[in-house]
Amino acid sequence: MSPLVERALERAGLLAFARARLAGDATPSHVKAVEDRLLAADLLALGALADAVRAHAVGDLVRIHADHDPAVAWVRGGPRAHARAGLSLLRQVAILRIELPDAARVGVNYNELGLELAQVALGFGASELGGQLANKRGLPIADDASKRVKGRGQVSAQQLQREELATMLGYVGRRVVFEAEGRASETLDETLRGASHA
Amino acid sequence: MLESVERKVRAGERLSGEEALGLFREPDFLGLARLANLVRERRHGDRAYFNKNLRVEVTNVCVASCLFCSFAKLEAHMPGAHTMSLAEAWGKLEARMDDPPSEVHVVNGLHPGLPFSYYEDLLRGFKRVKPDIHLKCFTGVEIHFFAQHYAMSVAEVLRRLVDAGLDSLPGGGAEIFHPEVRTRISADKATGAEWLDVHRAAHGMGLRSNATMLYGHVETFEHRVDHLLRLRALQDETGGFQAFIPLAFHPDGNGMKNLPAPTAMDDLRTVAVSRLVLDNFEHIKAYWVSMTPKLAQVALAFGADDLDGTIVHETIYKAAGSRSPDGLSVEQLVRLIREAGRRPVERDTLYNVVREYERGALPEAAVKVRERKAGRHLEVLP
Repeated sequence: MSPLVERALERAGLLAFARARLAGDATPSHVKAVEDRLLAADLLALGALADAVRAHAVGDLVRIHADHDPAVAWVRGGPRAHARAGLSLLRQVAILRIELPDAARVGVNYNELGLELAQVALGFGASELGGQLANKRGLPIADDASKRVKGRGQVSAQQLQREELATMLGYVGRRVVFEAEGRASETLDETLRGASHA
Repeated sequence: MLESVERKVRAGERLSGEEALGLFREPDFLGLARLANLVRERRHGDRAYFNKNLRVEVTNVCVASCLFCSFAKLEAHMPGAHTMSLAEAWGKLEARMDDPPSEVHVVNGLHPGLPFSYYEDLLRGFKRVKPDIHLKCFTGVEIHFFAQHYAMSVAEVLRRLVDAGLDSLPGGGAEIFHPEVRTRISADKATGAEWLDVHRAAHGMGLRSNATMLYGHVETFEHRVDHLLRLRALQDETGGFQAFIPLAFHPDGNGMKNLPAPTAMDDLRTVAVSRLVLDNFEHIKAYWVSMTPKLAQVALAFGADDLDGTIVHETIYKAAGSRSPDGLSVEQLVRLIREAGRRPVERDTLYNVVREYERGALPEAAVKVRERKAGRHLEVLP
């Protein structure tokens, strides 16, 4: 974290907690004690702390899930376009990333949030993206749809969209893994039971 | 890097071009945002602005062939080409008179077949419908085209339009000033220097205007910095700019459709750097049509202090694949601003306060998280 962010966390009364959290020394009672301060903290400082926790906990990998993965703490965007505004969502992502143990993973659904906000959420502690691969107008890409690409012949539209998504996330310094559909996975509760807090 | 910039920002010192370039490459993304937010807060406290405006694009027929444009049609007879009758254009405002906007914002293609009197009559007609309406019409590119096409000086074009009711100029058409880029993406319209000359002339006549930058296509960070510095220099000279509006390139249906759109991180970074570099611009707008309303709200934490307005019906970004809604209600704008922890202020075009709203003690966003935590800590997708 930069000195600028450290000063903001200090003003919010969160610097000692932030250092403990990043060192893996924060206990559930520590988290409980700062809960209100986290809720009221400056969003950018909160985001910076969550991003540092994310980098420490899961590195620069972004996992993209085609279907619901019960192992992930998903932050929902709401069914309507303006159901929940952007900053509220980013705050939820950041708080979850800070409060949950390192072993837990926090995700957002880009079909609900839009790709733009989902991408920003990756800078506020999220490491998982969920959603159906869609074209630029948000319509699902059919399994058999393909496009002719110079030098490659017919390429599946799903593959092209995956490559585009990976490139976009590469621009912000993250690596992408596409999780296989129907992959067996432990639930979030199981993960939390097996993990020491923070 | 960010610490030395912070020292200068806190001391109110101007950033150099090299420092501006460094900010575009600064790895501490949220640290950069904090710095931009500091500057915004110093100028505007907890206020965030919007207005009630109506966007009208009377013609998309355009002799220019800009690679980034999905809106223009080269010939009047081409499919999709349209030019409103004057009555049709005035009708857009008449239809809104039950809850009238304070501003009509007109931007068009460069139509070679209309008489100059069409534009004068257009303005006069809007004023007849609502005499106190503020007419923010015609980009610097359009004014330059009028001067060439109708064989007048820029000053004469502006004088005649002001006589007909023009109140200020919008900021469009600036794209990227640097000729290395401008000649590639929009070679057949006003150059960067000509765009700046139009605004210099307008400011000299007492008109206020805005400025834009179309980013995220073939330009480099160096070109963006050059653009910002040219605007800053003209603002030092005239003081006539009100707001700077970074506009994200949208690739659908235009000559650069092979390029990816800029990422959301790039959008937010560009807002933040603009706030820090343009130290003589009062306002930085997050144009929700280009960014989507949600991202525009996030931009309020990255140095932006204005969300533009209700718009009602925008077609230029729509043609380029924007998924933003056609318009936002005042209630939606107020809510977006309140959830950002700011005090919504409805303004007129010249930033006179029309109505100031209350803000909650805690950002509404935080309250929501609190409420959700009272139930179950997480809400998991079904």
